[in-house]
Amino acid sequence: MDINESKVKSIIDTVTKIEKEVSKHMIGQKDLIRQVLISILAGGNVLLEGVPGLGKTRLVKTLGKVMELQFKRIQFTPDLMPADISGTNIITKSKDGSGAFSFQEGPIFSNIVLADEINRATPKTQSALLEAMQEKTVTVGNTTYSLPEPFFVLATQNPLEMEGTYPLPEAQLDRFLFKLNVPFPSLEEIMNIVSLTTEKEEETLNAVTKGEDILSIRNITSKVPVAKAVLEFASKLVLATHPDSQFATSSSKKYIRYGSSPRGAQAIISTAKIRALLEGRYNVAFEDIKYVAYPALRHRFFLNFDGLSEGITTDKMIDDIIKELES
Amino acid sequence: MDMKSIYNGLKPLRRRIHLNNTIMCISYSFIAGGIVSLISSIVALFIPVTFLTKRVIMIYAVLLLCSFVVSIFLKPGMTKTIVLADSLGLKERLTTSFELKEDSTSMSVLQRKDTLEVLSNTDFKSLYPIKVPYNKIITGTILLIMTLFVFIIPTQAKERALIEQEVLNEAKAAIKMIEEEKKALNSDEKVSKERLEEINATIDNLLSQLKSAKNEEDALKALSKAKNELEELKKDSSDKLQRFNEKLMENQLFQDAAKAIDEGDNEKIEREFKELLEKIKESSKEELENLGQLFDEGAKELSEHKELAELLDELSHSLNSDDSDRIEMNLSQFKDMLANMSDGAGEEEALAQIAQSINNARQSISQKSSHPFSFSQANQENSSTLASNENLNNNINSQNQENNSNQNGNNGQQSSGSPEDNGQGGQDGQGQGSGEGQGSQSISISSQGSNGGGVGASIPKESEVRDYEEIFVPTRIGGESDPSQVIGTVNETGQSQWAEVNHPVLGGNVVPYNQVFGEYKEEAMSGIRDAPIPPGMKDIVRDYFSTLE
Repeated sequence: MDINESKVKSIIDTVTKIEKEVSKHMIGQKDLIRQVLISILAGGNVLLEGVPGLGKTRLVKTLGKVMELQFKRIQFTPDLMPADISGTNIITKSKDGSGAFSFQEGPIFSNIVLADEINRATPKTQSALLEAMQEKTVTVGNTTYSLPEPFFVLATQNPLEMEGTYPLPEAQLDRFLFKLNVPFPSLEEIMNIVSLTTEKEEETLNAVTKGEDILSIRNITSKVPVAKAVLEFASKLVLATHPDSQFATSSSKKYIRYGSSPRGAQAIISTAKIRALLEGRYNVAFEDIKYVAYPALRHRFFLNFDGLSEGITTDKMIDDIIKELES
Repeated sequence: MDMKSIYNGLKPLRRRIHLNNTIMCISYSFIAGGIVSLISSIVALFIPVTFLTKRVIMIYAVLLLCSFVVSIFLKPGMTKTIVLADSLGLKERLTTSFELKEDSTSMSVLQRKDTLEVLSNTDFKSLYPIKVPYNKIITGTILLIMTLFVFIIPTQAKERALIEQEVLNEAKAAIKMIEEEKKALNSDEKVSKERLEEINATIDNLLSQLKSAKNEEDALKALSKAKNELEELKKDSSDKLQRFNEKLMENQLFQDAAKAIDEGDNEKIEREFKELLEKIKESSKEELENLGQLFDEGAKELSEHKELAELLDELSHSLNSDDSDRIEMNLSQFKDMLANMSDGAGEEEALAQIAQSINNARQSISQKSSHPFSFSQANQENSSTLASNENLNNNINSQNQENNSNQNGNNGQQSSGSPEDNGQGGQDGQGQGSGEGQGSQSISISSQGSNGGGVGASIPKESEVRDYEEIFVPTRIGGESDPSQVIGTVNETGQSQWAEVNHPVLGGNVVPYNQVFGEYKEEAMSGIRDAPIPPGMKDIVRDYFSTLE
């Protein structure tokens, strides 16, 4: 595939347009939008965490519309069954009156799946998403069904109402490319939100891209070169989250129970490439690594009792590790 | 898009990095120089450090030079420049380009193009300014000022260092002078090769000792040793000539001519040689053979005097040949050569000059080390050496009268005669008295006798008297406010009285001096090293032991 300047420019233009369109319905949260877009362009799943009412579902819906992608929403509840997500074989009658099993697709068969309040479902149901998120396939009975391309799961979870929730298992968390913390809007943003939703009529959203474009962009961004030093930095960053590693920092030794899997490094590099290209660069820089390190790693390593009791956050840990590696 | 354009774009930054490194290196060397200088100057407050100013300047100069040399190698490599440029806002563009320089994929080409574009728009002057390390310069300046301040604090060690400094300067001057004399000696064709080698070895040894001298102690020691060695060399040569002359005097034919040579009267020599020629013509073959044999022996013995040896050999042959013309010619040459030698030409003159240089150096060093004793001592030796070198023939069989005077006590003892007696006189002499001795000895030997020390020193001839300085200046010892004390009492006549042991050692035994010499010398050297003795006095002690060696 031949890459030229105009193609790269068109990618930047597309992303800029998407952001512009999304911002019609989303006030503020520019960084969040950029990070979600990066994750989507990298072909990864996103876990959005934030208190209710911050526009998580709205963001996902808007993205679906702007990118002209099929969008489905699954509200996770404790009684939600795996088949409710993936679909199931049902008996159907043919014209001749004979009955046969036919596969009834679940909501997972979509380009963008919003798994709302994912932590409210039982682990069994949560696990139903594992194959879809990683392999982009669904197996029902003896048959494996491919999911449409592009496919993303954008899951949300509420960190406050923990009662009656089922925290996501580590294996599933690792399947999310990014975990994004949805920040609370500022005063000005709240005022704009209120104004937008109560006074004005919402602007119509225009689709600026298609699924095929996303795949094409993903293909180009994967070719962005990474210098050895930058790659090494990303790898060290991941290794430093392991308390037993030779690159472990004093804080990671003290507060981390276990560190990130190699998927963390993959996530950092693949998203850093997109970030670099969106910044108008044809190479990954350290600042790209640092930018994506927080959403890519914060859900991949776990603090021990000391860390939790001292109120240490994973972001704080990443911050310490980056500072120590840079010095 | 090639990497060459990118490298060219990096050149200004590379130059700036190099310049900054150089400035930093120089400033560090400035601080280092300040620290070393300050430490040196503080040390110099307590320990004598010669040529401190020169050393400090040298330290700064060397460090500055080193920093310049080091800074040549501080030119940053391309990799380092690339990393720095990336950190200045190029965001790993250069590193990536450098790694992908061989890659020709469309993305790599785009990447290089982007790098070059950003590079050409980057203003390294503002991103990487030339940094003047003011803090370091101020630190270095403060250290320099502190050093200068410490410089002006007067201490005894500094005064001592100043003296040593002057002494070393004198030693250097002496080295230069001796080297010149050595050169002159080496160009003298009259001196035989073997002799030259011997002399050169002695002089080289002296020079190396003198060069390694670090203070006046070392310098004076080296000079004393050298003086003795040169005198030994000279004496050896003179002794041989003297012996040969004595043998000639014993020969009936040559007796009168030899005496004339000895007296150094040119007219008489001329006359006696004419008479000798007549005598040779009339003498028997046996007498001529005897004389010839004498010359032959002389030639062998005086082999170091190459020309003289050759001439004696030729003379021996001519006497055996009965060729009167040849004999006359050779005798005439022999006469002329002796006359030349008496004028102090050749080896003796050079040795005398070197000895002169040594004595001058000793005198200067003693003066610089501010001691009246050593100066007079050096002067005395100087004059005696000069006298000894005045005339070679005068040195041979000169008649010398000596008066031994001794005024140490009421009961004087006379000692007279040989130089050994002179030396002894100092030890034995007591009371008042004077002695007169006659002996057959050279002046140089008698001078050595006086070196042997003791109060009973010989009184030199009028011609030998030079401008001697006073040996003892009471006011100089301890200053006027602090009179020196001696053990004894002042009697009614105003003369001091003191008791002295004047009886044989009871229960002891006589030991040859060479058995105890080493031990005594060691003890004395240790004494002069540790005890607060004026340098001039140390000189006397050193000389005493050097002479005994």
